[in-house]
Amino acid sequence: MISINSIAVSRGDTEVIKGFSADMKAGTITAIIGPNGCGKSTLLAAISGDLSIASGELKMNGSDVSSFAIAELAKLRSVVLQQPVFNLAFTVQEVLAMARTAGSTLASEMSAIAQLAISDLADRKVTQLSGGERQRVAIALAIAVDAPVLLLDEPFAAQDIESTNRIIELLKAAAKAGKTIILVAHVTESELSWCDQIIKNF
Amino acid sequence: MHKRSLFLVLNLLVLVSAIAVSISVGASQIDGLVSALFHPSANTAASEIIWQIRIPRIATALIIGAALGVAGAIAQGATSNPLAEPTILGTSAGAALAVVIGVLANLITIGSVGAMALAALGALAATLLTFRFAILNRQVSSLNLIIIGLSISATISAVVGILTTAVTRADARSISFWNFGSLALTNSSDILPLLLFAITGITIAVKIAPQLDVLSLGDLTAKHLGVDPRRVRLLSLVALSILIGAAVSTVGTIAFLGLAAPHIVRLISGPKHRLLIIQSALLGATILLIADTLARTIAKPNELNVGLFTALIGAPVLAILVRNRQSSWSQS
Repeated sequence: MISINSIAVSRGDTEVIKGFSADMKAGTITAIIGPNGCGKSTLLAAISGDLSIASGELKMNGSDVSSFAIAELAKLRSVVLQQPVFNLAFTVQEVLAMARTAGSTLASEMSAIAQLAISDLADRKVTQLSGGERQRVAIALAIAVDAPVLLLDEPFAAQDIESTNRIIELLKAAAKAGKTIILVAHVTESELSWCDQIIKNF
Repeated sequence: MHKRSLFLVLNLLVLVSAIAVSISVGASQIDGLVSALFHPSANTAASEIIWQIRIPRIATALIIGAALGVAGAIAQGATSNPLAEPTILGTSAGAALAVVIGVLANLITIGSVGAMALAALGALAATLLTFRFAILNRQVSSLNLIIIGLSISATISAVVGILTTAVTRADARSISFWNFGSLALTNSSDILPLLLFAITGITIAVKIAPQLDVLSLGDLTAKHLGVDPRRVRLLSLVALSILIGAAVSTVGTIAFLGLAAPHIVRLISGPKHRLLIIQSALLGATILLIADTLARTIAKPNELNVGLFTALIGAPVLAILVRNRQSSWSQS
């Protein structure tokens, strides 16, 4: 599904990633781990198409990520940012309906709410939620799109054990259904036994 | 009744009352008002005042008020900034400068389609300049946008002020016109081009409204959801410039309406842009009509600048609402 061949990625003048290669197959979960500043989020941003690569090859579904139009890419991959932005006081339900631009339906939005067990938040304003709640809304927004690739930047950062376990189960079910999942995590390798592949040296 | 519907009904009631009052008051006392109102072609002084002077002026106030309300709503939505407003982003100043230069060069007459188009171009150029300067690390910084917008507005307004002293043509406007606005010199021939520009701008705004909603999730998430933030922002600026070009070239700069109307609507009806744009148009029209009626009657037969009254009405209402209620904007 995703093939990365000897890519280099820079942020400003600094080359953060150099000569990195990997393959992520459909139906698998890949975790990217490593110390702060090693380029985990940069790698994820490159895969999601937010950062362009300086050299090498980064293909999703057989085509260069950079070759997709914004609307095409939105249907191919969804992304959960580490710190979701909510500038206006929309309700959670209204925010999820914004995924319609990427192809979500009322049914997929309701299913996302159920999978994350956030039905009690549905009518709350996103600007009034806690960090963990906001992140769960962002995950719901991403899975409501139902894209074949799901990219998550530190989805467990602000979650309690119960929510973490729920998210892990959700990701495992999504992988079983054939989705390609890549996540950045700030945990030890031993805590990621449920992942199919762990990337740590890049 | 839902508070949104209640607000809409209340707004309509106030608007209709304001139109009725505005028709009946003015510099001259009119006898046989009702009869004149229903006989537009009767050759009486009363019907002439009502149909040639007051009704065209009311129509102008309504169109421009709607344009300013919508302009504020899209400026705030496109920048994700609660302080963004045409007079703060440099949009209004750019429009004024283009018109003053056009008049100086004998290219246009105020109130014409040419003047509105030139003003729209000036508005767009000044707003793009503000954005260009506000970019920091490839992102538009909110604070920079306001500070740079204010600096560009002040600089351009100073140039407008200096240039107005050089204009000798009879139809040129004074510095207080450009700074505080006035509907005193409008006439019925302004209405059609104004309507054309306002409908164009508002239609673009309504079309991009759902994408402005998505933009409130930040540029990155908007992109992830298939919305191109640059395209939405450019379309917003074009709509903004069309609306402000038409308004400023005809009646000068009317501050505060663009800031107050959308904030008041958002506090009552929520942040959804499609509803926000439509209700800001309605509220903007209502506030400007009331402000203009006050401006032309409070010191009659003299007229005051309408911008004084939009500030007098809009500012306290906004302050009270924001003070008493949770704002629609994220506090972070």
